[in-house]
Amino acid sequence: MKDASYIERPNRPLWVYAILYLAFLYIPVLFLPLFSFNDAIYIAFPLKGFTTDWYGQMLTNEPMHAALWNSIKVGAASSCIATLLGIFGAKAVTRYRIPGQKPSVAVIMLPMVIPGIILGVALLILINRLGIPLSLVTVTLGHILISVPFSMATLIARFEGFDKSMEEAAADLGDNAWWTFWRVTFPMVFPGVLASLLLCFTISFDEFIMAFFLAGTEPTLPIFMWNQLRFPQKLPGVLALGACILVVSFFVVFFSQWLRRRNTADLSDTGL
Amino acid sequence: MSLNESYIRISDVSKHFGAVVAVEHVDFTIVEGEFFSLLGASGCGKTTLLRMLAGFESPTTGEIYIDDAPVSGVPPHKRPTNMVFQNYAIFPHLNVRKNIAYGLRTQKLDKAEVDRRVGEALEMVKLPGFGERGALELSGGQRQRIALARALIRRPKVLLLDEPLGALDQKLREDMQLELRELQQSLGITFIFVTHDQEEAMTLSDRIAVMSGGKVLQIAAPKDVYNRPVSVEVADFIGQMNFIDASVVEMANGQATLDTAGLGRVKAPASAGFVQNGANIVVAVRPEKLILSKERLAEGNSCIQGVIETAAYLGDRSHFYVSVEGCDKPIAVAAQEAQASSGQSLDQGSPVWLCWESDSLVLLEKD
Repeated sequence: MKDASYIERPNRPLWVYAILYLAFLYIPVLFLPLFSFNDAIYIAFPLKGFTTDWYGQMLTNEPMHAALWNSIKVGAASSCIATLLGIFGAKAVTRYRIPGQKPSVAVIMLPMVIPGIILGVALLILINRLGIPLSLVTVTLGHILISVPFSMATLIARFEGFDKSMEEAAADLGDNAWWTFWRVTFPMVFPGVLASLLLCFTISFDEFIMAFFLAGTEPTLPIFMWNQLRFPQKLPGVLALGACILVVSFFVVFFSQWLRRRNTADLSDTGL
Repeated sequence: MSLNESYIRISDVSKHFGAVVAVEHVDFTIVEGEFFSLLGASGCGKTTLLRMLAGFESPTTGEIYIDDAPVSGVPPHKRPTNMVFQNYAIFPHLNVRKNIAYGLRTQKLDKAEVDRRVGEALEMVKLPGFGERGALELSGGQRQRIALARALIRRPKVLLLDEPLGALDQKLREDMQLELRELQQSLGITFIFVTHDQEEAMTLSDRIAVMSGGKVLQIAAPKDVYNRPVSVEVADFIGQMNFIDASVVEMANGQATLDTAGLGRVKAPASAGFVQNGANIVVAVRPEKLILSKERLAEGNSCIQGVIETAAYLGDRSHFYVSVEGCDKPIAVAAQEAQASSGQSLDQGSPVWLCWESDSLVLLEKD
């Protein structure tokens, strides 16, 4: 483009950098689907031949189905509870003046930066002390703990993105706090709620360390995969499963980001 | 029907935000059916006062009465007021019809009645057939009208308007001013209108409260605020004004004789208590009350000689700055087109006579 402005002019070094960057990020990941279609137990070049057997075997693998179902249960429960807590937290932080507000937000966000292994060990000790048996419930508790910061971050942005005079207008037009929340606040933050649910579900679904410490006899999917790695002949099956999770995760994250992006665009559209 | 003279009573109301005093000892009443404006620069406390009327803030001290009932403990959703917000606060997730009907939920009407009322409201703001439009498809002016319809559909006793015309362009603003005034007169509802635009306040209001620093400086009809400001601050805020230092030489029969810095010895009507022999005061005069002339004007006027420093032609009128000996600032004069072009050459640098009638002078207390 001859007439492109200074900032929009094509920049060759930048292109090369971008391509190298993306290659660094995604080429290792692409080996997963590549070898999942390879007709050999060992993961090595050259590729032997194309097969969908590994995917076919997934369909009849009962323990895998159980683990998948466990992960879905944990993911659904932890994302719903984390998002609910996130809604309350984000509303409190953005709508009320509370003494000690900044330190509390910092403390809520802290699990984001605490290594999972430390949280996992700490929770395991606590839960043992309390005499609670390890189960999917304890995994869910752990996942809520690490999901709430992400839910809060998503929802605070959403709450801050809309003018609080909307809520005042609802009150002015005769709605008490309950009706104001359901007729104005909730519809306005709904895209954020959806984004938070998807994000928290993904976090839970992919999480290994905490589940490793806190799961009892019922494995979640990542733990199931970890256990399979002890048997070399099962490795291609794990690759196939990994490839599926990769594709689903990608779409979920992409969709949640798209939701967030779209709602921000909506608000700036109102010209306010 | 006799109107309630103190339909809204703001009784010694103050509002503090931490150490900041937003509204300080404000005390006045508003007449039923009045178009009342709160006028002042940003930060003068006018919006805080309006928000206290709506119930979004509560007074730190004092009480507000609406229709003789104290409202301090009444939450916004139970007050007989409705508000048009500065940014309109149109609900973006609802279409126009649902926005307007929003406030009817609590009135438990059947669907046909709701539709009829929404239709009426849309007619009233001259947007018939807009019901199914999305909230995001509206222009600024349309949004303003929808906000108005949404507030009025609840038939409030008092409509509160927070700078509702601020975001509109000049032409639309003027049209909306006329419509607002007509609407208020046909509905007979009390309007309380917050603005920083003095022309807008003058155009619309029955009475204006001029506010500054959380206090009310003057409450009067637009004409009186303009012609009889009570202080230099009010006079300076409303339109342009020349201020000239003076000292009182003699005070007799409501007529003061003054020595001024620039205008010489002048006479002016005086009634205020601060005009006493020997007092230092300020003489104020509006630019359009001064007359420029090549020749000295006849009896009845006082005149003084000066030199035109700058002259600006503005189409319907011209602005001059005339330097006068003894006066530290040049004196502003506004002349109508007819006068400015009456064959006289009032160019920069030419000597002129500056004339005035004694009752166009306003005497103000020195700050």
